[in-house]
Amino acid sequence: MEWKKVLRQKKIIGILIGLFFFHIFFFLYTMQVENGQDTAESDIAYMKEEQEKYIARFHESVEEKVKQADSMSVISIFSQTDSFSSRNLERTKEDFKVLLPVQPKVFYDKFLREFFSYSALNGIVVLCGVVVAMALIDENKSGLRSMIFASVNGRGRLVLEKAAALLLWAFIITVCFYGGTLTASTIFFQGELSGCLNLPIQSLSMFSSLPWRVGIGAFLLIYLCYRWMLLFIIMIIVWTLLYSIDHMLLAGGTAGVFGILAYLFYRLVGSSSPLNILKYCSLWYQVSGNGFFTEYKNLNIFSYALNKNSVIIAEWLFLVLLFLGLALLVGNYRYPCISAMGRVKRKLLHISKKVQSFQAGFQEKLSLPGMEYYKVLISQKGIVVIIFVIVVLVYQTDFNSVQLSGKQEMYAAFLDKSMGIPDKESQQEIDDLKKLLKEVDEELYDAFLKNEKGELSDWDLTQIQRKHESYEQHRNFLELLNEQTTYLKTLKQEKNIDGWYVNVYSYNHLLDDGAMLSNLFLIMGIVLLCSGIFSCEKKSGMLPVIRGSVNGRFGIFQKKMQVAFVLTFLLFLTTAALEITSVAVVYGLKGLEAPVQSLSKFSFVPVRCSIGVFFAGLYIMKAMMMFAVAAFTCMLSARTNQKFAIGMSFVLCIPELLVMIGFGFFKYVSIVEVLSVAPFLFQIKNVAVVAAASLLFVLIGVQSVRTGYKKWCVT
Amino acid sequence: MKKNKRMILLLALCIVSCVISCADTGEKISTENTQTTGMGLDLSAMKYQQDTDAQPNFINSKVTKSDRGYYFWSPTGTFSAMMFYDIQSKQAVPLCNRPDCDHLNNDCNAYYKSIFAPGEGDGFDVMNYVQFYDGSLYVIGCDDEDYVNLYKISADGSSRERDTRLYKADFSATEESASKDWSGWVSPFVCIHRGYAYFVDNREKVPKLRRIKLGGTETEMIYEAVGTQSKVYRMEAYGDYLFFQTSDYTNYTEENPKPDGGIYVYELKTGKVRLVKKDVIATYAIADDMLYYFLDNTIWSCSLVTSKENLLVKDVCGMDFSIDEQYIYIFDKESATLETYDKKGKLVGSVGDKNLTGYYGGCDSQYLFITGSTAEVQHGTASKEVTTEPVTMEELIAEDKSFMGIIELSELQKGNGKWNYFFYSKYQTAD
Repeated sequence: MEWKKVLRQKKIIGILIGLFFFHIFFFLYTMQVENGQDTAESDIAYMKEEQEKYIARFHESVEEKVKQADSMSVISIFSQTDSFSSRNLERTKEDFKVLLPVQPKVFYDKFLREFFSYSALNGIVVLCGVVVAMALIDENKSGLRSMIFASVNGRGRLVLEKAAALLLWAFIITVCFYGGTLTASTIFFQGELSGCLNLPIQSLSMFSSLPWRVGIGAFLLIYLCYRWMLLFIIMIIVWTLLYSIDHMLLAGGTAGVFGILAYLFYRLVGSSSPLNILKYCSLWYQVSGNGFFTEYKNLNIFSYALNKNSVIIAEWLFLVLLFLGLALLVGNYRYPCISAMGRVKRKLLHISKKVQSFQAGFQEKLSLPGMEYYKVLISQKGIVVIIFVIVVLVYQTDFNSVQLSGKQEMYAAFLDKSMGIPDKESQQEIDDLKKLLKEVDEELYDAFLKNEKGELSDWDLTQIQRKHESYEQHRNFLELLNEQTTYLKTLKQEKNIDGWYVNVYSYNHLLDDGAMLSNLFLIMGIVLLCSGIFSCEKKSGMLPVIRGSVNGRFGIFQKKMQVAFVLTFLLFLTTAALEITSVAVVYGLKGLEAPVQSLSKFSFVPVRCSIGVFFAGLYIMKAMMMFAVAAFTCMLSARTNQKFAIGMSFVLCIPELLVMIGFGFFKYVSIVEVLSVAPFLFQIKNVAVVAAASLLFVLIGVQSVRTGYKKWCVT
Repeated sequence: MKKNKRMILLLALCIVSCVISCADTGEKISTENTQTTGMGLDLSAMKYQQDTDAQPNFINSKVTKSDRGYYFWSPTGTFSAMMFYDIQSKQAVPLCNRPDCDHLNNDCNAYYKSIFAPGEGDGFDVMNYVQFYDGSLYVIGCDDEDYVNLYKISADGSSRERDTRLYKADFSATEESASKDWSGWVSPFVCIHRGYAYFVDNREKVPKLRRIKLGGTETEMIYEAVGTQSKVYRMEAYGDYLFFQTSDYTNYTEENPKPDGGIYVYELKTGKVRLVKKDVIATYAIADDMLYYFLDNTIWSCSLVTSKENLLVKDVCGMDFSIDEQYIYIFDKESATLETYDKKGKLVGSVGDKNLTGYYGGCDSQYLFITGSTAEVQHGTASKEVTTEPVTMEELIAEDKSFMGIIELSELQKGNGKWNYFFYSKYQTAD
């Protein structure tokens, strides 16, 4: 009766029902926005025409595949005995032969196409699954574990019952959400589901590569089973991790690592990579789309051509056995009080006591601020977070030297001599170059004329052509100089600003927008560092004592905020230093005193200031935002507990995570995007807006500090 | 007496130094197999080893040879597709092992857009290089972090991966509107030989020949050109020697119409670079202990043993040529004509058509390749119409197509030579 435990948790049921209605509403809204009047008769006729074309070509296409397998089997590289390619040919041919007698039919399929294409549904279903899995570990939370372990069915059987409950809930969620969406789609598009159940699934063009002879009805059942099993696997992984690790944050972190790995395999491993099995076995691939049914692929496993779907099903079995087995082991053998783990723990405790006595001596000597640093860096493992973030930042920074092209080399040499306001000398150099290139052009022109007249041999003409070609980098360099000179002249004429020749390559790299991952880690680092600053006192029960002491209110508050800001500043300094030195090492940073408008990207800046001052301003804005995030997290830490503070603060990262997985729209509300001030500035092209955004962040920071102060010192 | 003592001392010193030098290396130098030539080359060290050596016939071209057939880039330049010409079945097919693929989109295993010039264009410029080495194909590509890489492709085209990072470039755009500036992209010259990739970045102001171990990270500088208008190119490896050419137009004028340069050799064993043939800046080949080279519309041979030079063919039709055991094949790109000469310089046969233009793609003792197009080809939006069956020259001319031409040399020597055009792509004029 484990499954009923979820029913008893009204909050969970409320979340599930809420998500269901929200999803149905959102699906219908999206369909309305995307399709508009697509259901008009003319559109239906057009879709029908397209479908007819597809069906007319279907047989031809299948026959081509079978024939192509035969024709390829005579090509030596594809037909070597026991090779992957020859097995792939054979397998593909056999698989597609099944489709030869299939007769797809034309029908109004819009409702089915939209249902299968709506990928947001898959994410929502996984979210529901995770919520239910978390709801089924309540005994860990309520401290009943010792009693349950001692009861008759409290070990392995309980684990099996939990697994059965997960299976049942996965089924309920799948049927409700997918069934609900299909029903909503059918009603919205006025489709006739009952009329098409017996038609072959290949009647839908998206499944043209699915080598199964099944009707749409049977396919829908298989599709639901696929989604059901997939959800069950995700739920059992999450549940086993939570159950085994017995520490919400650690288990959540482990699940997060699994999720990130799955995403990276899906995104970074190509379908033709020798490691493509990682891509197809990634749960992200399986969840996010319908590739299981729409993409035909045989994987090379020790030169055997195994269909990716068979590999995926084998992977599922393995995952279920692994995680269920792990849960059973933990359920049966991990004693709540006395266990092998317990003995190890006690030994560790013994050692840690000794360490603690040493620490106590050390702590006694610490000043008040020193003690606060100690709490964050040592007690709350903040030092690990800082090291991790710094390692990520260093890893993200590329110090490798660049092999400059001839054009870039000449440009750098030109700037060494002529950096500054365009003057006679720089103009002379440009004119000399123009003259040289003109002479080379004329030489080639003359050579062609002489060759036509027979005065120059083909060999000599070829040599002059080669000479002309060897000046290609000079021409590119002149083009770059002309581009910059024209811009600087326009700047002078239109805005009366004496722009400089400055190295646009170096500043462009400093303004690069490729630092989103670093920014994401920065924010996460700040959140993890600051989330326990205040809440740790509540957790340890020291809050009433601190409040009753002489400096316990404002004094401690001040010191804690100081720690938060100093550590945030340390992370800011690290990121800024890495960004600046990586560019300075490769290109050098000269011309910092030039007007900022010398860089064409900043032509819109209304104030007169130097590049150095402007960049300092950009970095100050970045620092402000980081301080605001720190203050916001501290405020949450003062008002709530650490878990809530982390949870709420991580909400700040969600838009960027959505951007990373393809929802580009969210970049407009992502703080991570704004944290790279310059790219944000280029998009907006308005310094006032960015200054206002920074001011807003400062206000949020100040308000957060005030709110935190009130909670800590006044109430 | 004093003199005798000195002589004995000198002799003893010589013996001791000989013993020490032999003991130092631990190597016995065989005098039987070593034949140092007039150019200072050890002929026994120039033997071709299939598993570890570059094929000199097909370096610097769009074609490469394996034991089962020839791989070549599609000739259109618009689609970065790799093709395979099968010796056994005499068919050319896209290098895609999936029978369920129609070879018309970028999901096809034969297309390589994703690893070349990401984001923009089709990266066709990288299609100047392909090399079959140690059972795999190697091609050049550039990733979105501006690293120029060697990519390794399995012989059946089923998998691909990045193998070696050659160098980091900077393709960032200076214009605000663009994110990358691919106009600065020039494909490097590459030659993989005995575990190392030798390469020249053609974008550099003063070109340099470097090498990097396959899969390694450390780059070694081998040679740096002298002049500012110079080039380093046409690497050909023969055993322990890597030959390459340089040309420098810094001092080239009408009055002094002679670019500086010549053929250089890099000795793999000693790491030394030296000039072996001054002023030879056009095509060359090494066969039968002879160096053949093109100079001023003539083809010369030069004995590697005696350094004796012979004029072989006068007033040749084109600069590209190849050598096999018996013949010299000279190709004229303007008329896509191939002329065959024996080693005494006598014309044996000729095949071609003035309606075609083409580029020489390499040749061995069996086949010769050209890529080309009909003279009236209209460059515009290209369709992806391909054929794997041979088409006739008349069809080719009628259809305005780019093509890969393959000729079987044994047929040519019998006097039946004709081009087989296997792959083409039809251009459609842009509206």
